[in-house]
Amino acid sequence: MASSSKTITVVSSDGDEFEMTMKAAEQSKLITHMLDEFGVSDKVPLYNVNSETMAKVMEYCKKHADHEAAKEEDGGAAIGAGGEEELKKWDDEFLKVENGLLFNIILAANYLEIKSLLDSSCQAVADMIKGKTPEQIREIFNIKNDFTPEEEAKLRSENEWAFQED
Amino acid sequence: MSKVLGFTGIDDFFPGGSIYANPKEPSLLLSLGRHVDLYFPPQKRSRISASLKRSHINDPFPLSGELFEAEKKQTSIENLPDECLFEIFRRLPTGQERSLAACVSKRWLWLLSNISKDEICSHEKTSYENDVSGEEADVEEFGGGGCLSRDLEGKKATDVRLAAVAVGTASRGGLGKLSIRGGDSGCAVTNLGLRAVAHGCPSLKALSLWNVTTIDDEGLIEIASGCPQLKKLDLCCCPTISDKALIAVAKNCPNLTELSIESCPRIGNDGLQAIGQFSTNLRSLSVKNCTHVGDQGIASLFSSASFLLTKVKLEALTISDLSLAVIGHYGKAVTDLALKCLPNVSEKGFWLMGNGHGLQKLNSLSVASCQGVTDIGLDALGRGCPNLKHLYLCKSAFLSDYGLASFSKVALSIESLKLEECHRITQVGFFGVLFNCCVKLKALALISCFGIKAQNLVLPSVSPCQSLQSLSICNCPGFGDAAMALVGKLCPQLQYVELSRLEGVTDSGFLALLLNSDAGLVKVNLSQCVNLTDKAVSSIATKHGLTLEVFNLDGCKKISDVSLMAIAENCPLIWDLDVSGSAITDAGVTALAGGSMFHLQILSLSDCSLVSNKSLPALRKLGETLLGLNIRNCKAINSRTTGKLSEQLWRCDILA
Repeated sequence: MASSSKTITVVSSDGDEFEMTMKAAEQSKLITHMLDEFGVSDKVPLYNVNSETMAKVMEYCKKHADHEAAKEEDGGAAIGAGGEEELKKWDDEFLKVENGLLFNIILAANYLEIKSLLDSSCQAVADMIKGKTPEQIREIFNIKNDFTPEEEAKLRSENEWAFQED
Repeated sequence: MSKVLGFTGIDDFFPGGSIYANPKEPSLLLSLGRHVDLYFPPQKRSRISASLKRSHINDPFPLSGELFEAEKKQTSIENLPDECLFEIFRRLPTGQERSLAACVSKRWLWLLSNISKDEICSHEKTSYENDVSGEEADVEEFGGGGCLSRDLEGKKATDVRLAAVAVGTASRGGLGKLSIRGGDSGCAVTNLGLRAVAHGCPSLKALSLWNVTTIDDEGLIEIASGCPQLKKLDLCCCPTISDKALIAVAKNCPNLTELSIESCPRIGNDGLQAIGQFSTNLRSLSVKNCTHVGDQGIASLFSSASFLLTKVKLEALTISDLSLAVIGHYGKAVTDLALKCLPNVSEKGFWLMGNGHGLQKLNSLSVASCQGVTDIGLDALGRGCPNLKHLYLCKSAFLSDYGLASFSKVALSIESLKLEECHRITQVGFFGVLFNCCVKLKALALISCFGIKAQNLVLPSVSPCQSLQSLSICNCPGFGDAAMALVGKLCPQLQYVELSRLEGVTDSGFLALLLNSDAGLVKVNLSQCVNLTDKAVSSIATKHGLTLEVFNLDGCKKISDVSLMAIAENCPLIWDLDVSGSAITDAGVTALAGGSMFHLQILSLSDCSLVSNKSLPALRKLGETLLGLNIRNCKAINSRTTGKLSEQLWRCDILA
C-alpha cells in the first residue's frame, strides 16, 4: 500500500507551522473532522495548542502512524510479537517530561481528540498519584488545600483505612 | 519552533480572549457563584464533542479565570478541565488510591465521588505496567455487599461529608444504610451530596431522610438510578419531595420491600399508584399525614395484582370508606394492619372491610381514633377475619358492651385484646369478653376506660378462663374490689399481671385476684396503687415467691420495710424489683441484701427519701449481681456515697 504523500499544515497558537502526513493527522479526530469540513488546502489553525506541545504531539502522531502503516503492510509480521510492547515503551519514555508539559499534552490530546495519547498521558499522571499521601500529592502538583480543618478531619476519619501503611 | 519558549501563560493558551464565539460559555460551575464552596461536575463525558457548528469545542476549559494562579508559567494539574481529571482518576485502580486522592482538595473529592463502578479502568489491557497480580484491580469490590452504615445529623450533615462517605466506603464493603437527619438548624445536604452517594454506593440498601428540606426530587431520582438495590426507603418531613421522585424509585428499585412516608405533603396518589404498579416486592407500607394521599392512591396500590403486602400502617389521612373496602377485598397477604386517625372513615368502611373477605391472613389489627369502630363494624371484622389474633382498640367512643361481646363470640382466633380509652365499655362488656373467650384468649388489657364503674353484677356460673395468662388493668378508676374478686375467680391461670393506677382497689381486692392464681405469678406490676399495703405485698411474696421474677411497686406510698423483708425471704428468683417512691428505709435495704436474692439485676429505689448513706454496705453487697441501680432523688444519699458506689459497682449502670 503506497503511503500517502499528502501532507497538511497546522498552525500553533504561537504562529508556528507544522507539517504532518495525512496518516498522522488521522490520529486526531478533530483534525480529521476539520479537514472533512474545510478541505486540505487551508492551513488548520489550532490556536489552543502552543508550539512546544504541538511538537510533542506531532512526534506522537508520526510514531503511531508509522506503527500502524507497518502493521498494515505485512499483516503484522513486520512488527512481530513484541511490536505492541515496544510501542508502549516508547510511549512511556515519550511521556517522561516535566509536569507542565505533560498537562499541556493532556489538554492538547483532549482538544485534538487523540484517544490513545489521552489514555497514555492520563495513565502517566495516575501513576504519579498512586502510592502518595494527600500531602505529597499536593506538594508535587502544587494544589491548595481548601478543606476546613473540620472537613479535613471528617474526611480523614472516613478514609482512615487508606492511610494505613501496608 | 522559534516561539516555543515564548509561551507566556494564560492568554496564549486559554480562551480568555479567544476567537471563538462563546469563550465563557456559562457553565454550571460559573453560575453557582462564589458562595457555593464546591465544584459542580459538568456533564460528564470522557470525550469532548468536536461539533464545528459551535466554537470548535464545547469549551474544554470551563474554569473561570479566578481559579488559576496567574503568575505560574507552567500549566498545573488544576488547569485541567474536569473531564481530563476524571480520565486520570478513573485510572486509579484501587479504592485506597481513590480515598487518598479524595483528601487532596474539594474539587478532587467531588470528581472522585462521582465516579461510578463501570467507569473505573481495569488493568487487563495495559501490559506495560509491571503488576502481574490481580490484587490491584478491585473494581469488582466497588460498592461491595453494603455492610457499612452512616448516620448524618444536623449541622454535620453536609455534601462534603456525603462525598467523603461515597469515596471512603466504596472499596471497604460498601455503604448499605444511610440516614440523614436535619436538625433544628437545618442541614446542608443538597442534591449534589445525594448524587455522590448515587455514584459511589451502588449497594445502598436502606435510605432514611428526616427533615431534610434542602434536597428535592432530583437528588432522590439520582439515588434511584444509582442504587437499584434499595430495599428500604423512609421519608419523614420532606416537603420538597414529590411523586416524581417516588415514581422513579418505584421504577428503578425493584427490590423495594419497606416504604415509609410521613408528613410529605407533595406525595400523593400518583406516587402510590406507581409503587403499586412497580414495587412487586413491597412487604411493608406506612403512610402518615400526607394530605395529598387519598382513596385513589390507596385503592390503586392495593388493587395491583402483583402484591405481597403484609404490614400496613395508615395514619392521619383523608381516605374514606372506599379505601377500607378495597383493603378488605384485596388485602390477601396482609397480616398486620394499623389504622389511626382516619376521620373520614365511617362505620360503613369497617363493615365493608370485614365483608370483603380478603383479610383472611390478618393476624393483628390496631385501630385508634377512628370513629367508625362501632358495634356493627367490629362484628363485621370479627366475622371477616378468621385468623385475627391480636386486637388493639384505642379511643373508640362508640363501641359498646354489646359490640364487644358479640365480637368476642365470633372472633374465633383471638388471643390478645387491648382496649384503651373506650369509655362506653362497662364491667358487663369486660366480663362478657372473659366468658366468651375462655378457651383461646391469652392476654387482656384495659387501659383508661372510665366507663368501668362499680356495678352489682349477678354473673352466671361459668367455667373459669383457663387460657388467660396476662391481664392488665390500668387507670380505670371505677374498678373496685368486687370486680377484682370476680376476675380472680374467673382467671386462675394468670402469670403476668399489671394492675396500675387503680385507686379504687384495696388490699382485699388485690389479694382476691392475686392469691387465686393457681399458676405462679411471674410478673406483677402494682405501680401507683396507693392503697396497697405491706400485708398484701407480703402475702403475694409468700404465695408466689417461687415463680416471681419481676415485681413493680413504684409509687406505692404505703409500702415499707416489711414488704422488703418478705420479698427478701421468699423471692429468690426476682431479677427486677422496683420500690420507688415508697416508705422503705435503710433497714429494708439491708434486709434485701441479707436475703436470698441471688439473681437481682435491676433495682430501683428512686424517690425513697428515707434511704440514706447507711445503705451503702447493703447496696454494695447487692451490687455483686446488679446491672442497673436507680437511686435518683434519694435525698438522703449524698454524692460521695454515689461516687463510691460508681467506683465499686463498675459493672452496674447507676442512675443518680
